[in-house]
Amino acid sequence: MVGGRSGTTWIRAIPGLFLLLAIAAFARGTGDLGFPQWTGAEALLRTLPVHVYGKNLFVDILHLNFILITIIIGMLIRNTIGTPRWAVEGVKLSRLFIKMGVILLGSLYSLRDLQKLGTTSVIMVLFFVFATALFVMWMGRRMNLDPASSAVLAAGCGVCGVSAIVATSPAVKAKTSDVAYSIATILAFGVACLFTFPTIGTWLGLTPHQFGVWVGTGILNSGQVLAAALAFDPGTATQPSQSLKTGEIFNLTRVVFLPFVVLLLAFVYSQMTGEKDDCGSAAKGIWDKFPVFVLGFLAMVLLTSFGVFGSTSPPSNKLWWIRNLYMWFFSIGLTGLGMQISIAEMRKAGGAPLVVGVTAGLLKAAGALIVVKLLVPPMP
Amino acid sequence: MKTVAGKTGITCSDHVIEAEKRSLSLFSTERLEDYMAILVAAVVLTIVLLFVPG
Repeated sequence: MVGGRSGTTWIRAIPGLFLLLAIAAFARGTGDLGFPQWTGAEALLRTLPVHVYGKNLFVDILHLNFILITIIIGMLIRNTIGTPRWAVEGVKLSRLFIKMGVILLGSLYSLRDLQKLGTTSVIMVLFFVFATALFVMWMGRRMNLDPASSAVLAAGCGVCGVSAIVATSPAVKAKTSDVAYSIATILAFGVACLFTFPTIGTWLGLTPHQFGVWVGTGILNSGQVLAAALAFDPGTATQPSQSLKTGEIFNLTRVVFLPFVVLLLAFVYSQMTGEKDDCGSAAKGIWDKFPVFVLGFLAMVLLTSFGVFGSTSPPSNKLWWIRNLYMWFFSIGLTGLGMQISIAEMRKAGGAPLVVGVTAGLLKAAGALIVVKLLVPPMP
Repeated sequence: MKTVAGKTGITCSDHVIEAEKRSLSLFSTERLEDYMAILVAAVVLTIVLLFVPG
């Protein structure tokens, strides 16, 4: 038994995993799997003769590369025929694949990179996370939202979407309906960002580094940050995506702040309602909510910095393999993410939570964009 | 388990479980999923170190 699940659950996950792999291979091509005949749906879109200013409309302007294609196929399956029953357990492993991909992504950074990107990200993320969370609490109060509902929405808008909502809900005693409304709002806003940010970034002439800073700060959901960064600049194993490299550091910095934001929101909630938080001490609360997989990412940065996997520039054969592997992990995980996006679920968003969430999300995205245009240099 | 004030029969743990269910993960908690991600990544890296030349 692992986590209360029996061995048969794991066996039942295999068909779903094969479905995710098949969709990822359809979008990416099967060259890495030993079948170079199929070059992928992205390559197929590139051949379509629809051009704007000499650029391919689908791939270069709308950024419909293999990452967005996997998500769209996942969403189409989920919202038309529905996820097949035999695939449900496998789809539930998609977040695991995204986390494994993030750990292996550590192979892109040296300690120096981490120090350079980390300093900027801590300053920006610190400001935007806490400013957004406090803004949502304030606006929620002005719009007569229940304090618990405001708090979960504040966590979702401020930190990292669904995980933050899940982590905050017990601390502020949110009702299931509060959680459902907040998740629906964050997902609906995030899906809109996912498909529009890469196009806006191209129109505004952002460099991959600037785009990474923008999405890492402005998009609410971790998986969607990853997808938008890869949609803008997919990169290759030898020339990795700069928007992913920058965006993920900002995203991870935000994720690390999660336990502190939960504590802040629990404090604000108790001040507003006069109730005491009964979910444990501050130190225990921070450790309980700390995203442990980030430690795996840091370990990977250390191993790469100390040359365990060989030369980083040009990348050794081992690093080439690792970088190809994380792209496959991301493709599989993001296909699953698409299969978890339910339009029916998003329709639950509405009323005051939707207004508060979208206002906060838009302000955060616009504020981050202004900072990027004014202060962030084109290159790291 | 601790009772959440004002909501009869609903406990803090129930909230956690309900919220975790919504996250559509095969794991009962996010912490377990994190440990599994680290474990599988370590296995993958060991295989790469042992079997990939260069």
